[in-house]
Amino acid sequence: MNCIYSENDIALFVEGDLAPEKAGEVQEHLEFCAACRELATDLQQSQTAFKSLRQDTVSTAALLSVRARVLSEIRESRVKPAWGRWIYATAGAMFAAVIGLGIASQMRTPSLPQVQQVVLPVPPTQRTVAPQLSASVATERSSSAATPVRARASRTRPVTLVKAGNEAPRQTVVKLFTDDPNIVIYWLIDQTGGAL
Amino acid sequence: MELRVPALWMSSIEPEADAKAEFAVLLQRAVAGDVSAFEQIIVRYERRVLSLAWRMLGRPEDAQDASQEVFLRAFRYLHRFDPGRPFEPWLMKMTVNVCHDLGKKRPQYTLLDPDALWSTRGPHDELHSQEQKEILYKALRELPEKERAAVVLRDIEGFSTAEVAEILGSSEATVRSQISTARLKIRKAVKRGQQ
Repeated sequence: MNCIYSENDIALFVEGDLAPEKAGEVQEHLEFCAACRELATDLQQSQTAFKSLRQDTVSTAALLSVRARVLSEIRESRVKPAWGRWIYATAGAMFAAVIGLGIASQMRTPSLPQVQQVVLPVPPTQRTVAPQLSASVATERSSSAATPVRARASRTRPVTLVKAGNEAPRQTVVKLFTDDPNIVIYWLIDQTGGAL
Repeated sequence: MELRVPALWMSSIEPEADAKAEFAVLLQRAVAGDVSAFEQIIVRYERRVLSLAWRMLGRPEDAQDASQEVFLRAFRYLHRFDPGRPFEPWLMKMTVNVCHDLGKKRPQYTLLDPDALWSTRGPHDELHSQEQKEILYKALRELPEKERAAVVLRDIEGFSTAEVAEILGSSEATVRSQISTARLKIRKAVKRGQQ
């Protein structure tokens, strides 16, 4: 068809599916275009036949069968309204949240580095008058659990220094064990308590 | 005369308003799990659902399975339905979706016996022969699924283009394109049958 209107336009026109303005234009066009008029007539006939299929009605037996199956499924409680299942879903979500929070709090508990104090004797010729110091090392608990290993280790500090008299000067080595077994920090402390 | 106008106006809208209110109550009861209320909803729409499913799928047993699934889904998700909107397009949309899912599992669209599901023949059967009916059903089953859905909803089920677009989740322009193409294919099939 070689017209300004496509076959699809005519197919819409015959069932009134075109916008009123365009439908008016097509109506005028049909008056002088034999090809479009013939197509429109054919379409009207085929549409009349097609729409007559509406007359076919479903058998009552088929309807009753479907209805019985649906109601049986529902009554046997195999199907529940979704709102009923929300209760279970909410309870499940709350349970999962509680478990999740418990696991998270466990993971956040700060594990302090293990501190081992090793006292090494130093030859008396090296330091003659310095008093012996022994370091007591304490750790400061951090409230932040997620602190990296290095940061936690750095918070470990000597809190008291005890003067032990005129004994041979010694060095104190503090060995810090971290969560990671591959990381061990050695801290050498001189007589004044400062790190070497 | 002045008194009659409002009286007439009221009488024209009251039945529809009553029906809507009655249906809203049915819905509420069904959402609350009242099976007898849901049964009444099934009775209202079962014919429409089964007809559409049959025309979409072609086989009576598939259509019945699809209808069953539609109503079970409807019962399950009734709480999601917006009571301010018409119920039928919502149910038809569900029917189209169920038919689509079932069609993927059972892709053979066969129409072995068009009378297997239909109990009565309408007055038009006298006008067009069984042969023509078979031609039409054959043309219908040869259409792509979306064109079939659009043309069945528009031309047989009688929904407006806007409603069909809503049911199929597409634009009105797309629906117009689908139904016009389908009508041209049906016309060709009918013409071939006449030759």
